[in-house]
Amino acid sequence: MIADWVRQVLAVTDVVILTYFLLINSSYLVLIVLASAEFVHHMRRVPFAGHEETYRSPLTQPVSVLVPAHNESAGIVQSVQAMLALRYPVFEVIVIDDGSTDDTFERLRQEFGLVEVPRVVPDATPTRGKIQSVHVPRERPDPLVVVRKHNGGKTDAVNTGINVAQYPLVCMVDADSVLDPQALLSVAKPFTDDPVRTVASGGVIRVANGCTVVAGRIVDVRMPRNWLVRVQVVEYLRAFLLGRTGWSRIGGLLIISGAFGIFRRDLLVEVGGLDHDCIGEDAELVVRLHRHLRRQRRDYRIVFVAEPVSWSEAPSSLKVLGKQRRRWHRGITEILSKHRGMILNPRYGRIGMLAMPYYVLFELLAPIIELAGVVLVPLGLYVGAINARFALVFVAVAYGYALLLNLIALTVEEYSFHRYHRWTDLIASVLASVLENFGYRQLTAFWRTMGMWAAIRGGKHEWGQMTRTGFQTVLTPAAPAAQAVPDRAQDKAQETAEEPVTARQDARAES
Amino acid sequence: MTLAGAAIVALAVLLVAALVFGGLIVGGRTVRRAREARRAKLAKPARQLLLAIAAGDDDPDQVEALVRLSDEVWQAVEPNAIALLGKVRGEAHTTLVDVFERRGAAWRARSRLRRRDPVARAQAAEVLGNLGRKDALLPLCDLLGDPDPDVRVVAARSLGRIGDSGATQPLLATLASRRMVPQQVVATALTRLGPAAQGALLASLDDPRAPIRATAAEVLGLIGAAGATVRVESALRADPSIDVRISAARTLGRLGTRTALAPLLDSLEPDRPVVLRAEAAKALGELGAVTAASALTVLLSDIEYVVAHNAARSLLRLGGAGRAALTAAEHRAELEPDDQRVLLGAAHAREALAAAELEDLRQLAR
Repeated sequence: MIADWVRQVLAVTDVVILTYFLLINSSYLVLIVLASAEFVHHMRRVPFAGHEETYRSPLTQPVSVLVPAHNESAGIVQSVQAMLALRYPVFEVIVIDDGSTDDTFERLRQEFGLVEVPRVVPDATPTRGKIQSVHVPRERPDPLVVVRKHNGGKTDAVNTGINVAQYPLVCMVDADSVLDPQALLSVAKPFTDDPVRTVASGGVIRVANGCTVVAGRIVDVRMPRNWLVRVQVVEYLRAFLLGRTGWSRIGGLLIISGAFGIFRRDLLVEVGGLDHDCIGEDAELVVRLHRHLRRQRRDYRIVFVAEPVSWSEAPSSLKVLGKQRRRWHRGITEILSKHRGMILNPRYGRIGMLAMPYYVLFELLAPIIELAGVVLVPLGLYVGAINARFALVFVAVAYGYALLLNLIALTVEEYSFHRYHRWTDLIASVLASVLENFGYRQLTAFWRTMGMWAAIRGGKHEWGQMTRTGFQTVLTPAAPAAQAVPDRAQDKAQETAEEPVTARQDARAES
Repeated sequence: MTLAGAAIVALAVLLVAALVFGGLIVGGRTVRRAREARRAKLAKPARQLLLAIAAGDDDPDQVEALVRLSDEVWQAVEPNAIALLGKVRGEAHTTLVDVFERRGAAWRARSRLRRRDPVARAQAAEVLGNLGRKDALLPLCDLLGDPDPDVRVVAARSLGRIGDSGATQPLLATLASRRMVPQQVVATALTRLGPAAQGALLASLDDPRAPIRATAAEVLGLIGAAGATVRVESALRADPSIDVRISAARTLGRLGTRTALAPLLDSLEPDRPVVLRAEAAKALGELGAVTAASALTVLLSDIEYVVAHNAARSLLRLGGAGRAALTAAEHRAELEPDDQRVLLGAAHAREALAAAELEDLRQLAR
């Protein structure tokens, strides 16, 4: 009797799981179709995009490029050099050295001849790690600012960068990102096309592994040799490039990667910068912007630019990949939990009624259902709850559908940006599309479930207590190389570790 | 049909679809490569002719050779020619325009301005702008009201490139239209219309629509319309729109007329909006009036970061008097170490002075 009951439950559960697979893949298909429409729209308009006009216009909004760095000694100099060579009329590069324990700062100091300068930094967004010093190039006219601060995590570094930024647009870039020279012009274009409504613009991140990088520029795009990374190339293409473009097309974009995105600085200040207490701080920021702007009934746009202009290294070992996916899913769980009031709330329009429920159903729960399928379908077969032939065909359809989606994604890439031009790259992409379904998906589902569990358990975040200090005056405490420092800086070298100055008398009390 | 039967059909469909998409990828890549190779081969000799013209070689034989290229070859080289047209200036630009004109590009573009496809309309507008066709002024002005926003933007840019002041009013009018063109695009186009547009811009300062007044005020500064100072000053004093007043403050700084001192100082008052105060503080530095030093010194300890920061940088631009004021503000901190406002002012002064010293050092190094 009990066995029959178990069999019944298993039979129903297995059909539900397999149906879920079909639904999730169909949702991806819809996003790919939307993205394809966007690509056609975009590609046809490239010849008159007007980048040259934007570059020459005296009215193009200047950008502060924020580069949080922690122990990035290996590539920081090349990365900053490439960023300083970006093609954009007016911009500054702000590197925030977040308590590096290696020689990240020393390398920058030597390359750019940095000297310490006094600087007043407004307390525009909350920060935890105190600024130690601010540096600029002594002789070179490069628009570079290097901020050294106590370790407080990436969020803290970005918030510090927002406070230091002088320009109305801020662009967040990972220190290991490789940007094309046109990157800023491309991603800032929505701010030129629709300056009143555009509040944020995200750039696509592509996998840099395997590509040839010369002087901080991608000069030859090719598939990596490592199969784990090859699978990620296809995954990035389908899920990030096409998925986010699709969401952007219907005004439901929830994620802009912290590795490359431009935001209006005044709005970041308005919403209090990035959230220290959320692992997925970049996505959380976008959701919070939606929440804030929808509540105020403001007309706004958060868009995604599909032009491939930013390249980043993907994990090449299971250990690092596992850590990354646990972190990502913990972030999604925390964000959806924090903003659960938005879900199915008509007040938040298509964000509340469509995008967030989708993320709950097809992002948050996906790894659990995937794992359940891995366990329950074989179990159902074992106890005879489902017909073996039916199960086999249904599983083949579910995974075949996923494989087909990858092929469609590769087709869209081939007809739009076609950055992987070798035939061997194409063969590797197709094989990686097949391989993704055997082992990779199941492993990532496991890691994502672990991430979700970590969020539910609510483990402590590693950073310390927040202290608001009003205006901080960073003075020059000690000259690293006396002969390289201007007279004033040398004078100030005598004044060590001066207390921060606050604009408001009660600023300390507030903190 | 049973569920299992449906699944088998679905599997078969998936297999066929996979084959179709696989074929599309391989076929698409093969065709694209073949087309690119053919185009490169066809374009190679013509590209050399184009590069020679871009380098300033106006040999009539070369121009003639480009004009007589077959349509197939011209289509292959046209993207390069269009790219060059946007980059080269002077004689080379005139020669290239001549080639386009003689190949009938302007006529073709004009005939495409009314196509249903917005991309075709935008491309046509782009070509007419690149060729600087003054006879395209009216149809391009019509395109400023196009239903497609990209077409409107391209039309505005092209009108700027043509540089006929007759486009001033239509360009400004788009700012308040239901089918608007972004302010930056319009303002950039207006700056390219030359001094002849000044009259219309000045008149637009009386327009009842704020976006038009703000843009006109901004452009007057960018084109250096010194004669507009009095009118812009009154806009700064009395315009009901904060955007207009901010643009006016910026313009007065750019124009650098001493009479702007009083309205700019007035805009520094604490009851004015922060953005306006910050802009006025910055403009006073560009004005370079030493008499503004005391007002700017007061602002050094302003609670608003951007106001204090701009005041410090403006003091630097006042020369010796400004630097002296900054030095005094810095030393005041030693006399009144418990006063937070004094300390804040000293910090801003210190930052500005250090920046100035670095700049001096860089100039010496050059």
